[in-house]
Amino acid sequence: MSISDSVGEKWLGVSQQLPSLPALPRPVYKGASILLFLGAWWLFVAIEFLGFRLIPTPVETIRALVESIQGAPLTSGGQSLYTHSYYTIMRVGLGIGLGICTAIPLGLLIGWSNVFDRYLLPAFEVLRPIPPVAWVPIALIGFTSELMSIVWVVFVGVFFPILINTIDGVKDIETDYVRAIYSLGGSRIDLFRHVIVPSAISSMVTGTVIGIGIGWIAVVAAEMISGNYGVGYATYQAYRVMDTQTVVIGIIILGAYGALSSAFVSLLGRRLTPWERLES
Amino acid sequence: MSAVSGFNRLSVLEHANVVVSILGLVFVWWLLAVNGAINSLPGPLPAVNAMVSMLPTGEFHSSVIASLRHVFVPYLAATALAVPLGVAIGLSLTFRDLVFPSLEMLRPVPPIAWIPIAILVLPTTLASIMFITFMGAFFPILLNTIRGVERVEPDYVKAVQCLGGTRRDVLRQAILPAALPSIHTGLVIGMGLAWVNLVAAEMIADAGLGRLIWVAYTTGNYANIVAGVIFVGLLGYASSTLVRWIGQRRMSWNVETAS
Amino acid sequence: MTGQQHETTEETGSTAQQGSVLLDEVTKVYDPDGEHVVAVDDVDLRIDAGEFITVLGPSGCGKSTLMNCIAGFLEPTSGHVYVDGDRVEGPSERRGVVFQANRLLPWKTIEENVNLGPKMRGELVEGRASELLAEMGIEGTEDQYPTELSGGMQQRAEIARLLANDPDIMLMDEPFSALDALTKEIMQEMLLEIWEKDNRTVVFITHDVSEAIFLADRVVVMSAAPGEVKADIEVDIPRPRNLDVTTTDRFKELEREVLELIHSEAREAMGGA
Repeated sequence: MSISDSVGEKWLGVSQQLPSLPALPRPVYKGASILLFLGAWWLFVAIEFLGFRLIPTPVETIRALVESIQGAPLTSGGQSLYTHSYYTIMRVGLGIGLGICTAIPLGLLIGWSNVFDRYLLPAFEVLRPIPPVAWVPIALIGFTSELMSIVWVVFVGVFFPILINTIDGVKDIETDYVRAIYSLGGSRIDLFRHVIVPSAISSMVTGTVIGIGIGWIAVVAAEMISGNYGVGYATYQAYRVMDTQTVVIGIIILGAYGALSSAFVSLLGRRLTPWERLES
Repeated sequence: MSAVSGFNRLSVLEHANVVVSILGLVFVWWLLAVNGAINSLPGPLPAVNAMVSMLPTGEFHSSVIASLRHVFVPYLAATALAVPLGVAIGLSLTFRDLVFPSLEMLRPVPPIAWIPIAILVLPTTLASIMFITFMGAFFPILLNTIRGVERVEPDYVKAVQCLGGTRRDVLRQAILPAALPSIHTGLVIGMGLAWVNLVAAEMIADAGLGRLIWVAYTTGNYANIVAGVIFVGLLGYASSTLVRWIGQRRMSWNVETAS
Repeated sequence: MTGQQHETTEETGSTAQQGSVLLDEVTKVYDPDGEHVVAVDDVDLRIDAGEFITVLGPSGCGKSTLMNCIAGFLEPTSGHVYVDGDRVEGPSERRGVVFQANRLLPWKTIEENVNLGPKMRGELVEGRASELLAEMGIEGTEDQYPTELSGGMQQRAEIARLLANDPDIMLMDEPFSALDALTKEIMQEMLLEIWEKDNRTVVFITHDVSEAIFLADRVVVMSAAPGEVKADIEVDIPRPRNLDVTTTDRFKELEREVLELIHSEAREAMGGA
């Protein structure tokens, strides 16, 4: 199917070039990859490579991570992982929800209607290159509540990838599908329902996955810059008091949330497009 | 056929919608600022004034140069590393299994979250900021390169092979050109994410345009915030346009990028 | 309103049945970037209701453009297309289309695809889809997605989708050109069976000479650049036909005649260039 299955392996001749690598089952290599990573981390700490002497080892980190999951305060005397997570997830969730609810209808409208495409899209194109995090000070001035300013920054990050991908999805529609609908007696509304929306779903999902990635960057940056509570905030506070153990835990937690949220959207996307699994 | 002036008039008319649209945006901004709907938001005019007075200052120049360095040096490094790595991962299953799982553990971490560790581990602030922008650009380029290589039509490889091509020929004549559109997509997304992370890193680590904006905020010079944000937007836009333009020049054969 | 096409509403030409097509000096010019490309040049054509015609020509001769004008997807640059005396001003469910690349909607199951036309017009009849699929020899595929079916089965499903709308005219744009030779022959015979039962008007585009002759009452031969009608040949082979007729002398004779026409045209074109 893909090139690495058919000719890649033979072409690179990995087995001939590296005769020491036996043909082991794939999970063995994958496990080795993770172990190598942890080994490198441990080694860097052990030999005090660059500033790594400040960083805890993998074993210490796992122990501290378990404690945090059991509810120990993240920073001494501070809030637990769960309290911080509650704030972060609420901010990011509201921002993502708002982004999806506005960008998808707008994208469908702009992709579908020439008027909106010509008169609305350029204004958005002007705003698009502004990195979401650059909105932080403006949001802090503009909104009186901290929640609203961080949600706004996340929203800006989520909005544009979804908007642009939805528009592209709508515009990429095959002419023959449009013709098929009209020659079967369908109306413009039928076209929208039976062709435009379903065929744009996969690009909407792509846009949402990208948007959520940027949303997480935005929430972490905003919390580091201005937050009270939140995993990004806790991570940065820990750095200021040189609690590197908590810094590392914060990064792991943020990575886990990022992975979970994009996996969830991808799963949802596959559920919404059962026909796409069959192609390839 | 028609006169040059006629053509120009036509193209001006064609772009009238853009002018109308952007004027509409500025009008909405003015409206929000003038009736105080948004707390002490500076209007378009003060912002333009601030931009004009900011332009000739030495502080602005050094900030722009610093930010561009913070973006382009790591961006080029990320490209130089991610493209070969992506090609190798795309071609060899064993190499993929050995390398990719580790990278997949690092990928979901929002790049900006690395900033505390970067500041602690790396010797200078400059290096820390560059590490963050590097992380922003690296993964989009890597993933799109892998995807591009995976989807190369195997018959292209076979065609080059049966014309007597060596492995190097296969790579240069079939795999790289066929994967180029996807790599280019990664380069464009990577540039965008480099800027997203740059601003965050600069605000936190106190450097470049991010610092300029943040200082304007802490000193209460609100017009300068907006001016700084607009400059960041312009530079980010110019950077992405540059990447797109280079890509289009290198791939004139590709119908999708040409249109 | 469109459900009872077969009750005659007005007399059109010689037959009372609906589905006659008249092309009146149809010309279609494409003008991309100032290039003046004449795809169809001054075509006059009359197709009686219930007639099966094939339009034969090399690729780029404008035969698809011609079909798109009849379907209402394209507006002729000059001239008009009439169906039953009414000018064609856009697509209509009375003119069903089978596309060259299979155009079942990939996100709908086979049953949903077949039901799509009646559903959109609010005339959905439960069980009609299964009936049609059985008629087309692909019963049991209702809940499958198009990509799960072979090319031939997809094409059957697309014809079922068209029949579900009960159109007067079937417009088919090289529908079998992507199929393998054996499947293609089976599909041709099946199409004739359907047509002989309902006698809908069929306009069938192809570049395959024996397919054109085997199916049609009349073969309209087109030439390229500009697309003109080169010849209009009556196929006097008796119906019902099956593939055995392709070995008869009369079939071979017609085939030679059409091929000779096309070859002389090609030689002319090459000499001219």
